[in-house]
Amino acid sequence: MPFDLNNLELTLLIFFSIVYAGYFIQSIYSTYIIQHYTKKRDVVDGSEMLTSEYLPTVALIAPAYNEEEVALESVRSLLSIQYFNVELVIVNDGSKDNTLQILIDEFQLEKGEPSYYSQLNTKPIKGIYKSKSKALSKLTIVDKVNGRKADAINAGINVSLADYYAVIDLDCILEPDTLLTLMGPVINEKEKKVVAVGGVVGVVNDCEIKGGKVTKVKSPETILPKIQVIEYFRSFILSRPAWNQKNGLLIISGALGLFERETLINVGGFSHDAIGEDMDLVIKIHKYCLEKKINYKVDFIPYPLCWTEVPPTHEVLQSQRNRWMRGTIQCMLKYRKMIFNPTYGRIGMISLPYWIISEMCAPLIEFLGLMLLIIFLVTGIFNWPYAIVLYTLIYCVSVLLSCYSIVVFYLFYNKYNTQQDLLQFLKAACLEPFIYHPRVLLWSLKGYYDYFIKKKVCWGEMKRIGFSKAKSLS
Amino acid sequence: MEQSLATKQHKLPSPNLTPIIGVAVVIALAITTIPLLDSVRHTTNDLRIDIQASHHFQTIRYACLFVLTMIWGLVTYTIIHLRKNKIRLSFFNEKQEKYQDFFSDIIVQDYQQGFEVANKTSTSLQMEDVALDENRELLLHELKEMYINIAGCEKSRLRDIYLACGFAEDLKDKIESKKWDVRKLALEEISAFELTAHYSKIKTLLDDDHQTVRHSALKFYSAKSANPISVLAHLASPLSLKEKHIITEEAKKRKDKVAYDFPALIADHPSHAKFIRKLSRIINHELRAKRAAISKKENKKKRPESIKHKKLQLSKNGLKLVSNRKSDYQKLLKELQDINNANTDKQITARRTYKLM
Repeated sequence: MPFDLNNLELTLLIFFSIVYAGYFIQSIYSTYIIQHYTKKRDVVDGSEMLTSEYLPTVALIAPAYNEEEVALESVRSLLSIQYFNVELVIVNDGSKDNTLQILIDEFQLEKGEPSYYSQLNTKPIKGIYKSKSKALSKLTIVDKVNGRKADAINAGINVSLADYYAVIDLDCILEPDTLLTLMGPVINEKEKKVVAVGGVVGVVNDCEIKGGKVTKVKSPETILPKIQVIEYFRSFILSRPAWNQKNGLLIISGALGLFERETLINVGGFSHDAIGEDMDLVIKIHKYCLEKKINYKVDFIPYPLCWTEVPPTHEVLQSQRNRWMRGTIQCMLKYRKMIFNPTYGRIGMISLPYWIISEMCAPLIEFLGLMLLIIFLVTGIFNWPYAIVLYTLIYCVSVLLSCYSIVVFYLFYNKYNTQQDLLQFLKAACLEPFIYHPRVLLWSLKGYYDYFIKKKVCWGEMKRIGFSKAKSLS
Repeated sequence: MEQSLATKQHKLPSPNLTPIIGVAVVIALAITTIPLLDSVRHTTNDLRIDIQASHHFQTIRYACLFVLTMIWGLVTYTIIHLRKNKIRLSFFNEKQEKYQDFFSDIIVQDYQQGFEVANKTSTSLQMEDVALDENRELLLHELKEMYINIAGCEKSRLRDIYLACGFAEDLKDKIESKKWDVRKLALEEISAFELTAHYSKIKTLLDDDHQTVRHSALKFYSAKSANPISVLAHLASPLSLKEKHIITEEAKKRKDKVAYDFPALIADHPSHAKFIRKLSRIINHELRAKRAAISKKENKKKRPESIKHKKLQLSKNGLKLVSNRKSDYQKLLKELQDINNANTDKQITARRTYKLM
């Protein structure tokens, strides 16, 4: 059969239309969900549950590895969280810097009698520290041999017998009502077992922080974090609420996630060998619950509850994106038996295939497109007017999606208030396809190369610069 | 808190994107479809025309226009919305101040005249322009805020104002409203102003579609019904943690909780047995704590002061307080000397305490 260029064009156009139609349906649906949620949040006062006897106990687990720059600020922020039955577990995962010493000095910690429940296998524990001060009785610091993030979280789980575990990154700053909001679905659910809850994660770069709280949300000053803010908007606002509504969410951000104890223990906690341990855990939970026929729910709160620092430099960002891509590939291959398997319902039939096309294969498809472009240019069959219009359309649609996510964030959350910030974000949205997207594509392709050719499965190091220093550096 | 949050919502209304998206879609579709039809007609008439150059090309070109229109619409809408919000906020603040002044003036005026003899009809007349104000919801909100935070004759005066403004007449429509937040506010209104005539309507809201309304109705019903736990009969099993919390909190607030017959309740509602057992533990624990606090207080009153305590009291307050008589003074001096010369642990502790004072 001869190669028909028109058919190829038509196929590409149909593919493009389906992908973007999917994005738009998701976006509109997510907006509808956000609108309802924010309205409910404005009217309902959740704080009345704060001292309730029915509030389940929660352990906040934060693994720390070389976090001396942010450790103090973060622990202070975590200690100010509004929740009655909460304990804070910081796991020092064999840091090479002074993370542990800083915490010992600041919070008057002393080595205590370990109350350690060996529910999950972890690397050896060197010591468990408790504060001398009664006011800090809820704070526990676990010092252990380095074993990566998943291992550190599992060690934290072993220290506590709480009903729920909230797993967070130490460099995150939580809103005071984060735990209460995350527990909302657990408190209100009547029939389903809420096994995991996630929330929107915002970007804290260049924001004003006082006493471990974000006092003023501002747009980052440099272009790289600014574009990442838009990326976070698109991911958390235009996609996850819609997937969550159909119980098809495959990922709860590692920066903030709440997990039910029994389920977490039954699935074996976080996988030690996982590169993207957050995604791996959620898929594992889905698999376990669907196999055991549990009436369960993985929920998502469409509201910014947690603020995190995004990589301000290309080097760190490259390492992060490379890891994300390797994590995605690993998860999709690990759980390949679930794909198009009716036993796993929506997860197997819709969520996983969609994730494979839109996240895992997207860089490859884009790379293929670029190769075709070069071939067409070389062979001289390149139709310039057609190409220009097509690329303009793709560019416009991308900018539209970014603008839409910015607008939704602006209108519903009242976090960024100035018109100046809005225009800054719009400018970044226009620049993103030229100065940011090609690099992300390249790093993702390198992720493929590292995973399949170099067989690289380690996590890599993410260097923190600290909230106070971030501004001066940028 | 709930009220203040309601105000927040009032000030910054949730934006509705539907109109702007709708308008943008219509404009863009009009731009796209008309030339597209021409293009399709053209291709059908003349098959020799290169499809690549006409049909696809035109579609994509107009799709670009469509998308650009959408971007323009979104950005414009957001900028307008941000500006409008600022203006609305200052407008609402002004109105709020005006209403607060209005209610305060009435109360002060009635207080001066004496609440009993105050001419209520004059108030009704005064209220006419305010009652017909277009921002009735804000007026009601302010009235409710003031009503909650005030007591005595002033409170009943505010209730009169509420009735005179005709808010109670709108309640029926509000309860049957399609908007869940309106139904919730109506419930709060009935509860706050104690509008007994509407109590019967609340029972229907226990089965409301919206969780928030159901919770408010449950709270109200638990507080006002003869037995708060009787609401269990109206609730589908199982109960959410929030529902359990509401029932428990209302049960705790009641003075007649000693009368609860928990075994009988379990027999009546076997599906909620676990919850009732926990509830009984909470209530009994609270009662025990209260009793313990009372008896501790009484014991403290009855307990005679120990000798040591007396001594310390004496040393603390100085010699003047004891007596002006010489014999008493000498007696006390001896006692203090004894304390100073003491060797036993008890005496040493007493001495230390004395020195500290």
